[in-house]
Amino acid sequence: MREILRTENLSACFSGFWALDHVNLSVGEGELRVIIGPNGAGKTTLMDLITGKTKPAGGRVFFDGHDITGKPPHEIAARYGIGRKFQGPSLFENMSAAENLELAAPRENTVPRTFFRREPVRLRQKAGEVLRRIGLSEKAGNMACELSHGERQWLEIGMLMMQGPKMMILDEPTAGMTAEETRLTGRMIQRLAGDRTVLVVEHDMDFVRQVARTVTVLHMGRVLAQGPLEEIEKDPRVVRVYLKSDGREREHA
Amino acid sequence: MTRLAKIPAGRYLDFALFLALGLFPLTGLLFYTQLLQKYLVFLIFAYSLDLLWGYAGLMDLGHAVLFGMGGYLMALSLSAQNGVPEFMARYGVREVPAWLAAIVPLPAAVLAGILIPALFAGLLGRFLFSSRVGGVFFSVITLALAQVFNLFIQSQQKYTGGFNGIGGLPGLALFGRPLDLVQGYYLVFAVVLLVYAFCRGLTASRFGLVLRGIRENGARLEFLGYDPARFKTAVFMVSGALAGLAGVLYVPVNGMIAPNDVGMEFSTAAIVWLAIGGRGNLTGAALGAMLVNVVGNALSENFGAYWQLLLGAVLLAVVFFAPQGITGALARPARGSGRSKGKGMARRA
Amino acid sequence: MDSFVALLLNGLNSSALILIAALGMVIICGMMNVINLAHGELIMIGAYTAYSVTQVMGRSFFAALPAAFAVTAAAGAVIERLVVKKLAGRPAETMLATFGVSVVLQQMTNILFGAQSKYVAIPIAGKLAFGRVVVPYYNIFTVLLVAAVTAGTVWMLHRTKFGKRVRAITQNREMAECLGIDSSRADTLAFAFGSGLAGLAGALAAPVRSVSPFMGGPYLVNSFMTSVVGGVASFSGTAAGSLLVGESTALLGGVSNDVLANILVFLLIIAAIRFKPEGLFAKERR
Repeated sequence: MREILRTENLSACFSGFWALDHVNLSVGEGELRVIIGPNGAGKTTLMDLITGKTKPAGGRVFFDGHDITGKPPHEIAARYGIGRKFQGPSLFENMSAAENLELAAPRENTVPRTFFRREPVRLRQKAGEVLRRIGLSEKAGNMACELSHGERQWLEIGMLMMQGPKMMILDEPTAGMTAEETRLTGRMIQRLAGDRTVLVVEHDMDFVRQVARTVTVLHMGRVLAQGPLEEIEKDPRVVRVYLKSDGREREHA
Repeated sequence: MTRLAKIPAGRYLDFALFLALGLFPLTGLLFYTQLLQKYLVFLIFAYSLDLLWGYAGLMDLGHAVLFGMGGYLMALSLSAQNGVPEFMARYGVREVPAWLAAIVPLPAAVLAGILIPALFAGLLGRFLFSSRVGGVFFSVITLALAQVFNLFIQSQQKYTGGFNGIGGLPGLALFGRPLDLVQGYYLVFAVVLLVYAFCRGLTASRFGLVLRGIRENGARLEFLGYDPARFKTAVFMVSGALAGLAGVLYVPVNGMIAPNDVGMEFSTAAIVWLAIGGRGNLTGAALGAMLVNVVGNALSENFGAYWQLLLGAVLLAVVFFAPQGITGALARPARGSGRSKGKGMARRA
Repeated sequence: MDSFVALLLNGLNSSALILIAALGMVIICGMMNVINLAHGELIMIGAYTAYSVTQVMGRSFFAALPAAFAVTAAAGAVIERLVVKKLAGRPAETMLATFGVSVVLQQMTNILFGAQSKYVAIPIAGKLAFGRVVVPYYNIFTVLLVAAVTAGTVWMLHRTKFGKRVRAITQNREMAECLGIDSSRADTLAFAFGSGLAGLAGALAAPVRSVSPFMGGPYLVNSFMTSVVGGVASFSGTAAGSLLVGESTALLGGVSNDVLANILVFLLIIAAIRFKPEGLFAKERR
């Protein structure tokens, strides 16, 4: 498997607090990698650094052969092809579901390409298709703020589908979902993973078990362990820090 | 569904408004026609602010500065048609300065009045938006800009007529022939329709979609590959151009321009029009501008300062009971259950 | 050299006035995250209170100062309860609403007092002269009073229970509420205090600046700019910012004209905001 993402000694520091401490991560192309770890372990910070939201205090990020360290988020998204779904989810509230998706077009995102330009037909068609895939065809005209929580999460995943990046980062895609919704989301993500690389940050171990193959565990800004899920679940260091011995998430003291 | 039913309700209001405005001169009420002519210019100003604030979410508290740039350039041009203007001569200016000579030809003045505010907005925008300057900062900076610009205009009496402004200017003329009131009215009306069509086209395009995205969640757009700074600068420039155009038209219509027209007062007046009328749909901007000015004119004749007081109170009431303005309040029943989340101006990290 | 010193000292006076005006804004905007566009009008209320107490009621200016604080604080409390509290968490609406309040206050003052500028006598006449530098006694008084009030405010915020409560709320509202702090009451009191400071600024400025219903605008802008440059939540930053703004305006005003000075300072401030939006003196936050 070709390596598509690599971080070298990536570090982030906020007022003396090292949120990330020399993190070395390698993800292969087409892989579905899950990143777990207790709250404050630095998972979201790691995603922030990769997507350009925050500048690292040290280290480098390489994507698809390019050094993307410190580049602005819009360049990382448009030029290099990394898409991100936020923990929120983060949507365009007072715009319809369809409009949310239409905004996620991969090519029509510069001023010259949008000034007085209409929506290309293929974009509208693709949006319709994605709406079907995320089960929101009926709600195409509804405002994002009117959707249920689970639907909002799916809408943002739909935006990623529209965007079609080479690598997708999903930050807690099942947060706040019911068990059934979680399962559906898992299926969505698995279907996505085939064509592209997917990084999932998660807490819900049932969900992790549903989708994960390789798992990276972060703790206190460092990579604690990495490997196939079965090994991770049994790794004593991980168990001590994160999982209870029966494989369920431990209450972090 | 007939095609008629697919037209958004706002367009009916627009149509009604334009119909009323278009037919008004036929009533023969010349005094009010002249007043409405001025308000037509205000419509252009309101549309320009709506693009910036209603669609992109950038609350410009100093929008009159862009208006004033266009206005003063036009005023200077008109006053220098026959050589050195009187108010400059009083300060010992013997020759028409080169920059003024350049804009004496009216087409040049119009062009300058549109392009210079646009360029200024572009520079300011490039400077401001490329950092993580959030909405509140933008408002504060534009407020300060209004004050500084006002002071600047007043201080340059030699060239701007200072506190008294530039007055005694000729009215509208086309190809050298002066127009009478009704002709001038329809000229301005035609420009308003063109501006309206332009704004409708722009906001209906993908550009408009992105602007609304910036308003709703500018930070999120970055991760979809958009550079919000570029879009903000672009809309600021367009808005500046339109505001400048309004300024250019204002001067022959009003006959004069003064520092009061280019400072905080006029800037915040437009904010009030949009707050009351509703923003982000163009209809509200026109509605608010017309309503506030027409009612204001009627009331202030009799009640003076009380009108302003009432306006302040109405503004407060609107913020509490109809934060999306009149058009927002009208739109909600049509939407059914959905409650729009009042989207504030999130300060970016 | 003498004129330079004179400019510097005058600048100190301007800085003091700017500081006390901005201090109230720092509390309201920086600590409570409320954008109050009626800040200039609070200053105006303080100025008119000083006018009423001294010229209309004939009392001493030194009675006018606490009166100005009290009246404006009361006004602030009313504004907070009726307007600000209800719009918490919605900055755009708060801006619009406080703008509405500012219009109402301006017009009410206009109706009650008329649009003409009011005259307030300088309470301490005379000047101190050393060499060829002349400093009015009132300026010295202003600087000293502002220094004392600033010190008092800092002391209040760090040493009194009320101050600690307010700081707790600004840092973590939910936690503070869990600990039993009545955040709603503290909000009102803090807003009132900030407003009172603004009123005090207006009273101090009244003898030396113009007093009219529409005087507030420039003060609003100056206060915003200063508190932003200093780092909106930092007092020392605001003090430094006021010094910066006051002194540079004075010095530049001495060299060229006043308006140009204003423009240059404005440009400098924009540059400062642009390159350091968290303020020139702010501590880095997570």
